[in-house]
Amino acid sequence: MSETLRRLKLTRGYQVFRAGVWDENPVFRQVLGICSTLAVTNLLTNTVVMCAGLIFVLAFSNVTVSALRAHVPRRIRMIVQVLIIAAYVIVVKILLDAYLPEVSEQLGAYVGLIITNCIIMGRAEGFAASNPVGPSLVDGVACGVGYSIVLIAIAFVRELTGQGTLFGAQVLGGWWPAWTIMVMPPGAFFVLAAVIWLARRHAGSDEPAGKN
Amino acid sequence: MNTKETLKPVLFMAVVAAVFTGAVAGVHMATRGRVALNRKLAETGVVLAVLGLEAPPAEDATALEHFYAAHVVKTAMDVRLPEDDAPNPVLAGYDVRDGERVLVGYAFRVGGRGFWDEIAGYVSFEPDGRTVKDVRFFKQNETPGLGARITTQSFREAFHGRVLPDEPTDGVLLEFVPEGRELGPSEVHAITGATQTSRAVRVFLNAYLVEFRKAMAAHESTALAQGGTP
Repeated sequence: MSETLRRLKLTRGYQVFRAGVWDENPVFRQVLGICSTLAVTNLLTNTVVMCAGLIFVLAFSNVTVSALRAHVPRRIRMIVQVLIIAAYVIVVKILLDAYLPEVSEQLGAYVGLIITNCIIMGRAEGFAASNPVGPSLVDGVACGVGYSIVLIAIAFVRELTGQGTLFGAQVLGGWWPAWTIMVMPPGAFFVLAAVIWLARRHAGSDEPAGKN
Repeated sequence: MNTKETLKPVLFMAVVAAVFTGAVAGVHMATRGRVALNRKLAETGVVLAVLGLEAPPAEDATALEHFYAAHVVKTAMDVRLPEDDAPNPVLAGYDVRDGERVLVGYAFRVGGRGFWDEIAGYVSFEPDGRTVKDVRFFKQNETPGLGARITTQSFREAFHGRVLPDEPTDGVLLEFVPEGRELGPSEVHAITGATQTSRAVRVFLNAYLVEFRKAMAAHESTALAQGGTP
C-alpha cells in the first residue's frame, strides 16, 4: 500500500494536483481571487455554487487553451484566452439561470465576474498555454479545489458566527448573539487573514529568512 | 511583416470567436424557454403567496398557470410611479368558498433601488384596501444576514394587519420604527444594522402605497356612485 502511495506521489498528476491544492494554493499562497473570496463568503450555499462554477470554468478553459496552444498566434494568445474564459462563464451563468434560478439571483453579478478572476487567467497563461491537455485539466481542477477549500472554510466561519446558520439552517440557538461584522466585508478580511496565517504556519513559509 | 503573418491572427480570432459565440448561443437557445419560465413562475408564485392563495407546487408549471388565471385578475386600478417603465396594475385575488368566488385581497408590485441592487416584490391588502395582508420580496441582493432579512418571516410578520391612515404624513403611510419598539397601527419594524436597506424600502414602498390609496379612493367613490358597495 505504501509502495503504491509512494509511486502515486511520483506521478506528474499527483504533483500538479498537490501544487494546485496546497503548495501553490491560489488563495493563501498566491493571494489571488480575493475579490470573490471577500464577496460571496457570507453564505455557504452561494460559496459552494460559486466554487463549482469556478472549478468548471478553470478546468474547461485550461483544457481548451492547452488544446489550442500549438495553433494560437503568440501575439493574440491573451485575447483568445479571455474569449474562451468569457464563453465558459456565460455558459455557467445561463445554466444557473435555467436550473438554479434562486441561487443565480442571489449571486447576481459575481458569476459574471468569474471572468475577471485572476486565478483563471493566471492558470491559462502560466500553465495551460505551455502544458499538455491532461496535466492542464488536473491543474485547473486542483487550483479550483484549492480555492474552494479556502472559500468554504471562510464561509463556514462567517455564516456560523454572523448568522448562527449553516446552509441557511439554524444551527446556533437564540442565545447566540449574531456577530454582524462577520457578514460585512471587514469580517471576510479578518477570517481570510486568519486562514492565511494558519495555513502558512502549518505549511511553513517559502520565503527566505532574513530578506525584506 | 508579410500579408500571411498579418492575416493569420485576424482569421484565427474570427474563427475562434465564431465557434465560441456559436456555442454560447446554442446553450442560450436550448435553455431560454426554461429561463423565461423560471422568471415567470417565480413572480407568479409570489403573487399567489402574497394573496394567501394556496397554489400547486411551482414544479407543475401548467397547473400553476391555470390556478393563477382562475384566481387572479387585473383590476382597472394602476399604481404606476413616474419612474416605472410599464403599467403596474393592481391585482385582485379570489378564492372559491362554498362554490362562490370571494375576494381575498389586492396585490401590486413594488420595487426600487436598494442598498446594493434593485429590490422587487409584492404587497397585498385585505379587501378593505387599508389593512396590509402581506409583503414578499422576490428580487434582492442586499447584504446576507442584514438587508437580506427583508425576505424573512420575522420582517414580514410586522406588516401583517397594519392599517394605513387616511392621509399620508410627509408622503409616508407606513412608518418604519426601530426593532423592539411596540408597533403602532401603521408602523412596522426597520432592520437593525441595515439602515440603508430599511430606508430604501420605506421610500419606495410608501410611494406605491400613496398611489394605491389614491386609486382605491377613486375606485370606492366610483362604486358608490354606481350604487354598489365599494
